[in-house]
Amino acid sequence: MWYLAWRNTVRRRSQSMLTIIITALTIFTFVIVFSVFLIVQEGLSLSNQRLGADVIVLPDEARADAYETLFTGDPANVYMSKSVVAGVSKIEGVEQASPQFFTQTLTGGCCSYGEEIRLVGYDEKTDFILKPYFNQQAFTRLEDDQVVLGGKVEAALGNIVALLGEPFKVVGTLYPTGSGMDGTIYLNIDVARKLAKNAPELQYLWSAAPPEEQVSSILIKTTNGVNPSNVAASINQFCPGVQAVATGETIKNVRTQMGTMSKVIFVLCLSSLMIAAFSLVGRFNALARERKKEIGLLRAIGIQKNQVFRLILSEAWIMAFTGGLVGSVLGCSCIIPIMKVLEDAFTMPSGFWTLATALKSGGTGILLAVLLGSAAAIYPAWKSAGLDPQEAITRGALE
Amino acid sequence: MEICRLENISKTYMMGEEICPLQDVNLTINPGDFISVEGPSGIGKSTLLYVTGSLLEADEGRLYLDNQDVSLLTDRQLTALRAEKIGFIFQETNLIQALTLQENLEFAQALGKVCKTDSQAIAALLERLGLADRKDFLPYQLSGGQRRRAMAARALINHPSLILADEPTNDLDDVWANEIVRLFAEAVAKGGAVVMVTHNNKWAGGAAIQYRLEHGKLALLD
Repeated sequence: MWYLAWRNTVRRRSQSMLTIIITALTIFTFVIVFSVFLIVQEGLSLSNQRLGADVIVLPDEARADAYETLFTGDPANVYMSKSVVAGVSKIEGVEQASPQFFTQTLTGGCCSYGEEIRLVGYDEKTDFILKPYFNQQAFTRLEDDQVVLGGKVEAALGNIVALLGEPFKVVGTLYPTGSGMDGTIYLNIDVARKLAKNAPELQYLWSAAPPEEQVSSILIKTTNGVNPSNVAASINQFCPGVQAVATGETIKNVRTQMGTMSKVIFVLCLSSLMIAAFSLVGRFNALARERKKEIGLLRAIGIQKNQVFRLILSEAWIMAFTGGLVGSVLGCSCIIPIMKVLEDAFTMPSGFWTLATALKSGGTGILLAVLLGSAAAIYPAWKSAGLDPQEAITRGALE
Repeated sequence: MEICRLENISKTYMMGEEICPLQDVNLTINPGDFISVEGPSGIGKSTLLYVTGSLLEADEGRLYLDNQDVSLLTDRQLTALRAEKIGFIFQETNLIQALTLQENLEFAQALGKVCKTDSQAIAALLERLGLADRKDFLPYQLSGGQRRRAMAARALINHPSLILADEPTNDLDDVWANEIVRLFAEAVAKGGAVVMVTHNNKWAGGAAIQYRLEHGKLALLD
């Protein structure tokens, strides 16, 4: 019966192609939406797991955007006095506080990156964010001429990078976090300050205070059992000129926003699935109507009702599977450029496009196509199976 | 042992007015019977064949196939019985369009009681009907006469107990019409039975038992 279904599908080439194209386009849309959703969800999960800090302290809202600082690797030349670190450390519930100093690469420098990338100087003595990564690698600390790259930063010249005219040796790449850490280069805080101080293009930043006296952010680990939101509230209350944000809250907000956006996109996606389902019902109905005479013949010569039902469904499966496969492959192959466009246009956490994600998206797409095909073909198949053989032969010949 | 029996079969259609192609028809078909049914066009000969082949339910009367009252059989049992016992040649050419001639016959063989294909039997039958060189052709690539012969081959391939042939010599020249009738005669000689509906007296003469259908009544011709 499968052979007959296959031959029937191949023989009605143009009609089968139309059905396959409808399915492929629907699944193509679905796979793209679903993949983007998976990547963003993965990004959120990674951010949750790997951001490491419970609270992040930045200069006040007029000077720094916490959301951008967390979720993009864009340069953020924001500074506050390093005395804030001592003040924050005294707040109840703060177990560890580690300052970071932000600066940036410049565009167009020789042997450097072609774009501006955030450089983050970390404080080796108090750091609790990078240490777990370092412990898993072959080193325990960064020397002054060494850097570690974020998960999405590539070394420009093998394992050597030039930052603000100075060469650095790349000693490792961090695991992806889905956050701004992925687009960042890490180095020692004193080296970062020295680089920033010596860069002529950045001199305008040090009119108020030299870089040695400033920090950009303070990452805080709260004491076990203490609610990070309460700690953030206390910092905001007792330390003027700064803003403290509970990272979990920020991620939760992003998740809520993404959830709302996902709902809208999924409704649109569902609508396209419904349109495809209706048009497939129309296609399979027409197909069954055209073949009345042949189905009458099959029933007359001894094909059982359930075999006719299976035959029509099998044909639907063949076309739906082919459409699903084509749509999934096309969808998966478009994800990387689409994510690039989305990441450039929106500030959002994103995970990585891996083979596992591709298989998950593509597999779901194919499964959905087969389900869609089955749902659309069930009624025509049932109607065909119930045809009276004599009527089908005589009327089918006339229609 | 009879192959098929029609007992007081009546069939009425409503087509603007009431048409009764079959009225109280009785017919017994035994192994070795070669029956022809003549009559003018549109008189109900095809209806008689459809009822005999259990494809059309009579309004009144009983149909026995292989000594079983078909009204007591489920659709599944009846379909299986048709596959095993009856070979149809329909008036309209009707083959599975997606399959080649050879595959059409293999498909029919797979449905029969043997349930496996016998390529040699197919080759021999196609040779006999002048279709050997057309075995890989799809139905639409065959001429009207070739399709008619192909349908005859499909009906004969499983050696069914009963062959119901509706105008099997249409579209055929005398040579191939004669060959079809000869094949029917051979099937009958092997213990099968044939009911051939035709409006052409020339071919009806090949049957040992000749009926005429007129005004819903089946009359045996001398």
